[in-house]
Amino acid sequence: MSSDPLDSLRQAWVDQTIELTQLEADELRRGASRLERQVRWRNLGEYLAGVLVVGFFAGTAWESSDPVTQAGALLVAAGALSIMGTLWRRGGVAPMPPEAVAQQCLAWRRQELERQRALLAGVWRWYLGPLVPGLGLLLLARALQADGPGELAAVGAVALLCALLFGGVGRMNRAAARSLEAELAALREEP
Amino acid sequence: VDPETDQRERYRRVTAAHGDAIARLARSLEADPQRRIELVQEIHLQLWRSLARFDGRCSERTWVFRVAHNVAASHVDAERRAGRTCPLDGDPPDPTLPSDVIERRQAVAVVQRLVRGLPPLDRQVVLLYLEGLEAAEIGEITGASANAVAIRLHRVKALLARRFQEKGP
Repeated sequence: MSSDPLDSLRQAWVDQTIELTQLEADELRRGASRLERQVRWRNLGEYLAGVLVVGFFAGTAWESSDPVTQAGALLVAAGALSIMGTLWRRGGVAPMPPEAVAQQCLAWRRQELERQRALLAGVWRWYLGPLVPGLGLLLLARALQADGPGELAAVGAVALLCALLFGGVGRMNRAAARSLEAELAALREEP
Repeated sequence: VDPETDQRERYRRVTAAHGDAIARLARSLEADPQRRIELVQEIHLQLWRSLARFDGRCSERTWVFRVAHNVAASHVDAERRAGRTCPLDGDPPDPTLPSDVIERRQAVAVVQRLVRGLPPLDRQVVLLYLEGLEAAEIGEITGASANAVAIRLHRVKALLARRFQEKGP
């Protein structure tokens, strides 16, 4: 390196041998269509899953003669509808406008972090919470119908497993949200 | 000129001028050759889409660097979430090359490794500095204040100088 290492370094940087890419109009159009298709399929997948859950629990409510089971199943279906509504409102459906990616990097980063943080931090409110009353009632219905202490213990074990699962998911999401919040706070303190 | 032709012409012009910087950005952030190609293509695709709405409120170069760095930052986040952190060791330099060429390649490799470990804003400032941009334009691209850019540039230059004094190029 010369006496001014950083100027030499900048020169070495721009002198790197690279393969220049330039996509043809057809490739770009195909790529754009592919992006739109991916978004459409992802949305379709989410809604199909939601429709299946709603359909299954609505069917359970229809077929059951037990009022507690019916109420539980309908509440789970309502919870799934609520989750689908939240996904819709939060922009799972609408792709970003194409010029959004040309905003200043800090604004882009804040927007990305804030979006992810809001989804993770509110996971109990919008994702887990809406399912809890229905699942609770369904478990209660099974407990009320239990034939002996063995079956009751099995229902208890399932309830414990659900609680651990929901608690674990909630805890992991909160930890991830806190990490994003710390990153956002650091960005806000930028001089 | 119809909008699509205008978009296509603008895309050709900006990628002829800055396509090499996009490739260097991808190379500095993604070690896996296949995923690097995908990253470059993603940047080009997003650039082409965005150019349909280019409003002239900043230069084309500023626009290109914003798109490239934003797409790259999202790529790095996605790779991190997926637990993919490929080391940027690259191939060992060809020993038959002249020693000054080997030295320059090793210096670039050292910087690439250093850049990968930096927080996003620092990384963007370093890479834009290495591309030869001045502090004012780096501020316009990143949205960081002149003071923030100056602080980072000072810190990064000191870090680079120290790294090369310790190790040699």
